Amino acid sequence: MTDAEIARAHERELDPERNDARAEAALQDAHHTAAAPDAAPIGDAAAHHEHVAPVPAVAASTTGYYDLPVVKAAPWKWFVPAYFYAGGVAGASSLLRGAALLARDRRLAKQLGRLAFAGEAIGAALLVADLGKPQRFHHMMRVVRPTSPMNVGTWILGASGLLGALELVRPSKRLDAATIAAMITGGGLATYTGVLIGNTAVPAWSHARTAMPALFAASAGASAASLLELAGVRSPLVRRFALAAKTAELVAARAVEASLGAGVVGEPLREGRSGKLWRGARWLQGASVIATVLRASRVAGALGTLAGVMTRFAIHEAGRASAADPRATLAPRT
Amino acid sequence: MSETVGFLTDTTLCIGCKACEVACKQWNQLPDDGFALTGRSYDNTTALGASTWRHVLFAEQTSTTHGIAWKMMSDVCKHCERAGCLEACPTGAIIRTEHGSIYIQPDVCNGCGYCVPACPFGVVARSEDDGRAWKCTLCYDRLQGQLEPACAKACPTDSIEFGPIERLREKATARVKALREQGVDARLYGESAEAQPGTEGLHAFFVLNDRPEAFNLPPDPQVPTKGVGRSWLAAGLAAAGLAALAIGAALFGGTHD
Repeated sequence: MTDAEIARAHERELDPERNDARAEAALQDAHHTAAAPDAAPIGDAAAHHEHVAPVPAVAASTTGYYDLPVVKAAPWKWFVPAYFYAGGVAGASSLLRGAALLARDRRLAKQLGRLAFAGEAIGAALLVADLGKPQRFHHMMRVVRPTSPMNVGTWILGASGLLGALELVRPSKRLDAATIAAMITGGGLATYTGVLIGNTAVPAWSHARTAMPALFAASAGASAASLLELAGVRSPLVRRFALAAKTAELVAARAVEASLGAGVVGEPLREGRSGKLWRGARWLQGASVIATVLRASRVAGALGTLAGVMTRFAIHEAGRASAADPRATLAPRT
Repeated sequence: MSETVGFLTDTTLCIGCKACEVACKQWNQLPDDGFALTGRSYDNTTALGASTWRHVLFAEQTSTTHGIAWKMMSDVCKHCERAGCLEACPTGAIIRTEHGSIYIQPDVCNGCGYCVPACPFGVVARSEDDGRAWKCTLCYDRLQGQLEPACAKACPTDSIEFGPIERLREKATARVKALREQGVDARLYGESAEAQPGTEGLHAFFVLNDRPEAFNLPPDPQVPTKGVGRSWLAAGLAAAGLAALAIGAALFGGTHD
């Protein structure tokens, strides 16, 4: 080694506890390790031979590698599908508030303003809670990056939240610039999550990357309208919007199913936990449309709310099932 | 900007000793993965993860003509030319270094986990304990000290070779040619943008003695962000549609049911 190289080696950060060079991941926290789910522990196998389960022989896969997943599922907790719901309600409420002001219904506009801000505040809290390092949530705003829907979404949610807070402090009496701005960010809030999940290597999400934003938009509208119906808000505007958005949601769900196809990629929407949630949500939403037509608005609201929540969890769960299935990942792209 | 470097991993030379896994863990002081047997040949780590940055696969194949074939491969982060994790990262924690490698800055990462499903190879993982995303760094610290990455240094058969990717490409091409002449079913994986347009080429590419699927490598990987423009367009149309429904509900039908 040259003198320069030796000097560079001496500059290396030293770990005071180990009196050793500190490596790339020396600061990675580790308390417990998760063993493979079907693995048998070997720890002190010789001493406790009778307690050690025989290692199962796993058949070699003819197509892939022991049928192990190729890609990894998003490591998100239930906070994220819950956010998809809350953010969707907030986005659609901001849009609908503009429409209410256009129809000179200030009472409805005020109610929608409150609903939008509640969705934004709860949604932001859910997102921060899901982070591995919640205290670093503001790192999301270090950059502006259009290839990262999560980054763009943070800016949209931030702007939307500010406009929502402004509306609470100083409610708009007509369709002014602040309302129109809130309508634009609301539209973004209701749809960017569809871009976010489509922009992954998870087959059940990415194969529907152009249909997902439409489903998220329609489902956001249906969810906001259902909450208003559930709260007993009597308004012809809400009723018409509820009918339109719920019908659009049923159509968009069909479009998502069609994008995934009848093969292995679409399987999570038909089978397993995600399939049950998805099909259940479709039936509930259909019943909700009928209830809205029959003017049973509280029933319609309850059914629609349940359908909206279930749709988000079905999509999240379908992503998990899809990532775990190597057949879906290795299937040719349509 | 220094030279672009990477790995050439040759499955025909791998003997499955796992020296690369051990050297990686030791140098990077990575936590253990639990002491367990999976029953999947000698593969007890099963996948790359937050604390497994090199992973040796053991594919056992039975055929009527050759009996049992045992194929081994040391898997690693591919350091894609067009990196899905980097483009999906909302914080800018994931960067491309002066060596052309992809590096997650642990002091910036906030553990959002979005890079995990964004990787078409399932490389990046979020640590349950630590909360941040981790993967191979191409031994960034060793490169600063003019040392080759620990796995390549430890590999006893030179199945893992480290060097400028231009030179590795030539070497890999010649190796595949020589193997084919010997009758070995050898192929390159991800060596260039032409060969793998979905990633625009890998900085850690492979000589494989089987189909990519046999080593759990997708035959046609796509970096998801390549289609993000289409998604944003669809979102714009969807938002406009929702706005039209809302405004339509306000303008048409009057104030009575």
